[in-house]
Amino acid sequence: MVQKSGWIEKNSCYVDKIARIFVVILTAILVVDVLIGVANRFIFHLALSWTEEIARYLFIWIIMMGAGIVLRLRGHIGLTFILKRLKKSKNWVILVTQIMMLFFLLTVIVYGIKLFIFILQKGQVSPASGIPLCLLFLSIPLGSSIMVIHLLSQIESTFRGFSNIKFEKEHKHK
Amino acid sequence: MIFIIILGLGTIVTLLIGMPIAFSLGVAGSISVLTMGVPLEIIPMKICYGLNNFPLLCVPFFILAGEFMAHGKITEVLLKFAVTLIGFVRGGLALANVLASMFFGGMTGSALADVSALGSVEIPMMIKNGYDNKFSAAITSASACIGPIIPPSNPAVIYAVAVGTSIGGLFLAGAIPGILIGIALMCGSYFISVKRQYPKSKKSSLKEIFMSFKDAILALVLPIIIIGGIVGGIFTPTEASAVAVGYAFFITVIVNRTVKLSDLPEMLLQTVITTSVVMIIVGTSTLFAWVMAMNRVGVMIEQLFAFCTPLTFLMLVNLLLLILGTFMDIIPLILIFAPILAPISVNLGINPLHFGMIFCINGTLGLITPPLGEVLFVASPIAKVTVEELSIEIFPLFLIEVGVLLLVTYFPFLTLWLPKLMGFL
Repeated sequence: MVQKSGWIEKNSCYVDKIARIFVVILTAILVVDVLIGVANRFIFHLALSWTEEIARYLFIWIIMMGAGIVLRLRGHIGLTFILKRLKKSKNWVILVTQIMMLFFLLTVIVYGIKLFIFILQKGQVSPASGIPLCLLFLSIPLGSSIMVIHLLSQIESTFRGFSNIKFEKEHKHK
Repeated sequence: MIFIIILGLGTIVTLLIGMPIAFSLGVAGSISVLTMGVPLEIIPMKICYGLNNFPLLCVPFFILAGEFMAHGKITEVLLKFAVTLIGFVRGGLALANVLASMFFGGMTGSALADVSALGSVEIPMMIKNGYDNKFSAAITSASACIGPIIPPSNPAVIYAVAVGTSIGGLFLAGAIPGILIGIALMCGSYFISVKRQYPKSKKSSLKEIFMSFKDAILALVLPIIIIGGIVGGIFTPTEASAVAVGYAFFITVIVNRTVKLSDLPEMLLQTVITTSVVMIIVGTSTLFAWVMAMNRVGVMIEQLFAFCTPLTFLMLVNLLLLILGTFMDIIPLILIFAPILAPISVNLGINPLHFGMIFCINGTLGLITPPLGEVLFVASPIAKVTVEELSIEIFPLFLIEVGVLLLVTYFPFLTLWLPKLMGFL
């Protein structure tokens, strides 16, 4: 069995590496940010309003990026006890779920971008820290796009699963 | 009505064919939104708003604090302290196992962190000292359930966010039930140990107890900081969890030097992965909950339960959640069913904190029931037993925990006394 990684898989791997670094940096900033908020109240008796807001926005970015990392690891939880019992039709069922997920993510991307452009045009900024709100909404389509890349690579490997089964059958036949 | 059928059927069908829960809720929600004729921008918007919630940040922080504790070998220190305290009884290591889980439960809020961090130390130690593999894994898994019940608790955070109750109050409500489960498990494992003649460790001298206490004291202060800080109104739960991370960093990196700075990226990444698995479900379940609210599903289900007295309702909820909990992870269980069931309980005059705690205990027990007990799947490879063997061995311990659940259900003061004392009610 020859396992060559296609260009989708290469892209998926590449994007994942960047996402991992990005997420680690954001999480470190998140911890420091919330601690600054607490420390300021104790040491300087000054309640900063922007630390909480920035923490929430960082959190959304972390989760949207993290969801992609988890998707690549196939780590999202679900009920697999029926799937495990399937034999012949297993790959087909997996393909159906993957295509449904793909459509969902594409919907999120398209309307996420629409929402992003809408808020960009309004030019809203967040109340406490003055960050453009569109940056917050950018995380949704961007995170979903990364998930789409990983999902495409997984769909490819599902297809490869089909051909592997055929290959094994032919092999047995001989 | 048609939208609800689409939503319900869509979720169930996609779940059963193995789609991840987060996507299943999203797909079903999106199809409903599409048929309802609402602008589709609502989909990314709801996902974003669902996550835009400061209290949710407790979850990654408590997970990260747990990572520090596990990497920094704090779990071993806690276990050693528990062994010197209680190891001299017959089956002492089993009792110490439970006690260590109670200590660790005061620092993290997740059963999986408990079983993977403590279990990897406890199970080999018990087997080496002459306990059965099966029993070692069973008592470790059963005691891991204490983690999310004793405050701080990640399920309690998710519940409080999903339903809109006080996180601090719910944390406190879990303290007595958590300790009760610990005591009940200790009694149960003592009886089993006497029956099977498991060994006892030698009695520790006062000096040894003092020495191990000295090692553990820095870690044991952490629960006091977290709970004291929240109850005393010094910080919000999220800030308390961030302080817990800061404190854990301080004792593992600076004082004990068991964690190197170069370990940090790996720990942060692991935290993000564990958190994202849960939080992406929070995002899409917000969309799901919105569709349900728009179609007044809550009102309809309320009418369904109109005949119930509070006690029969709680009984039904216990039964329903125990069954659903065997198939579903605790977080999606809370996110999908708590917003439906909690308003009914309020209508019936059940205290929200009491109901919340019952919900969390039910969901936690689901983690140790086959076929989908995640805790069992972590514990069985460590002890080299199959999940089936472990499931049989854990059954009596599971029954003990269900007994405590029933106690908590029918005696509300067990949950409500402490929050009342601290002024959360």
